[in-house]
Amino acid sequence: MPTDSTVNLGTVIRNRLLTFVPKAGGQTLMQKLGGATTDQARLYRDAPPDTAVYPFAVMRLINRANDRDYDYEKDPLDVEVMFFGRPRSQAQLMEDCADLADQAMLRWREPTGGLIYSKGRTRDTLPPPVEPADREVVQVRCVYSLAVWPTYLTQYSTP
Amino acid sequence: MPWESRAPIVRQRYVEAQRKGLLAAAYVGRNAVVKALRGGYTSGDFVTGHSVNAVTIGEPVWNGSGWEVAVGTNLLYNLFWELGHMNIFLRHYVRVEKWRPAALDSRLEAIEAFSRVFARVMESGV
Repeated sequence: MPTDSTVNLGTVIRNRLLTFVPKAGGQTLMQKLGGATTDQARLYRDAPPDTAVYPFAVMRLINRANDRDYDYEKDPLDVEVMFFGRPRSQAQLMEDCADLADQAMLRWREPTGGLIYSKGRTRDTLPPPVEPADREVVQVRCVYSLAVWPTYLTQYSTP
Repeated sequence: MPWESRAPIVRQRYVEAQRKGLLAAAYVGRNAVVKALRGGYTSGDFVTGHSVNAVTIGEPVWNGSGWEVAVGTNLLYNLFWELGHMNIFLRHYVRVEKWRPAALDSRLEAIEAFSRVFARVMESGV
């Protein structure tokens, strides 16, 4: 799992979200959102395309406040995932998608190609939107706190 | 001179220092958000001042492990601009963050304000 750049780190996290298979079986997030491969899956980075089809999700890496106690090699960050469904009858599907994301992220321990582990989550089902937002859209927001030791930072202390 | 514990006074002053320090920090955050909201969320041509006037500060409260204070708004549309939404007029996804960048950019100033006020209250009357 390469963490030798922010782009690759985002890809590692995105793939974890999309391909995680729950213990009880059932669909992956990629199957729920749609898309035959991870490239086609409707989990977009930063922003969806203008032609996005519901349901879809948007993922962002935010709040990357580096901790100098670890010589700046530890990279705490938040992964924000916002699920969008329309019409509002898709509310349960959006909550199911968020449940899948919780399972994928909250017990994640990735020791290869750098170190990634979960530190917690906040989750909100947004209230029905008001203008100028489309009030038929359901939005569920999850923010996962991760501790990351990416190789592009740890390489400087690796002999 | 008989010994007299000053612990109750210190405890009371500590609580007061926390509350006043938090309010000082909250005003720094509030001012940063107000400044960011002045231009509105789009072109700035349709700014009414509603968002700016709705930024409020709560009362410091004890959360079980420490004191905290909130800076927020009761305007729901601020939430959707901040977190992203499907805009019915623009007909696509749009997101304009004002609150989070303002809070992050002003955090050191807020810490300084808290520290300054906290020290002043704790040292008052000594």
